[in-house]
Amino acid sequence: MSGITARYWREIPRRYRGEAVKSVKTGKVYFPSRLVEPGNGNRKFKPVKLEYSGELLTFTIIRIAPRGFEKQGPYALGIIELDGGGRITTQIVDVPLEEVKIGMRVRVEFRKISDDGDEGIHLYGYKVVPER
Amino acid sequence: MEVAKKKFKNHPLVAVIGTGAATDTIALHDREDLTWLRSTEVAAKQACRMANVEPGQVDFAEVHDCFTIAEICVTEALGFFPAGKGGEAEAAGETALKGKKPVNTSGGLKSKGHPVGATGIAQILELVLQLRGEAGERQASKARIGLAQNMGGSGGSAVVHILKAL
Repeated sequence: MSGITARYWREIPRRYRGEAVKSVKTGKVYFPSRLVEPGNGNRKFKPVKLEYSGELLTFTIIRIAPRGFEKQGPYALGIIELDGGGRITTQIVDVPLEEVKIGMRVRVEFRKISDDGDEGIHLYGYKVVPER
Repeated sequence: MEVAKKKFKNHPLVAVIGTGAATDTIALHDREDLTWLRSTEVAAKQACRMANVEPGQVDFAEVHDCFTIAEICVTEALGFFPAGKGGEAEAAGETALKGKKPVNTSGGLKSKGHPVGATGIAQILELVLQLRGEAGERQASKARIGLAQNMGGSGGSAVVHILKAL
């Protein structure tokens, strides 16, 4: 991984704190935040924090991991429907791959995503673990 | 038209009678239904309206089967089969060369190849060969109206063309 720049720091509110927006018009939660709502042009949103619990909608097992994630493979990657609205795509960890199931309850946790080599900084974000 | 007739006097003429293009979210998690390719549905409806043909009147098609599931989802979004029935239709041979709606007579992306930029051109080439009756061993028995569907970004954008033998 290289090039940890403003592009990364700008992501911190959503990656570290789950900051999202809720449409005043439809009540739909958008994550990442949007300035304009698709389909109706609405520009009125209120800030909300994602609820860190939800259900696994679908998943796949990544066996050939992309650059920066080679050491983590094979791993499960899925889409999670969060309880308070909004969806995220992230890794499902702390569970044997054969125990990952559609519909399982999960909790969002703050985790290390990758690092920038021996002398670089760690990149953090969210992953999900089974709810126990 | 006169120029085309003169230049290609040894081949039947083929015309583009409909075209459509549409977009969707890039992230799959932003789509209401993960199994529905809305951009393809909208682009196909535009193209069909312009061409004044129903999906049922399309004789054969070239679709963006970058993965097995993609062809199934595309044939449903194009209106060839009801939602959730594309897989059964393919398993039953309905999209085979001798089926009632041949899909990807060229082999498609998975068998013929997917050189990205050239993929769409190859789809149109196959449509033209079929419509001219010049597809040789893989010639479909009825090829009067053909459809090409191409997409990118997991269906984040889609383009549909309908061609007809004159």
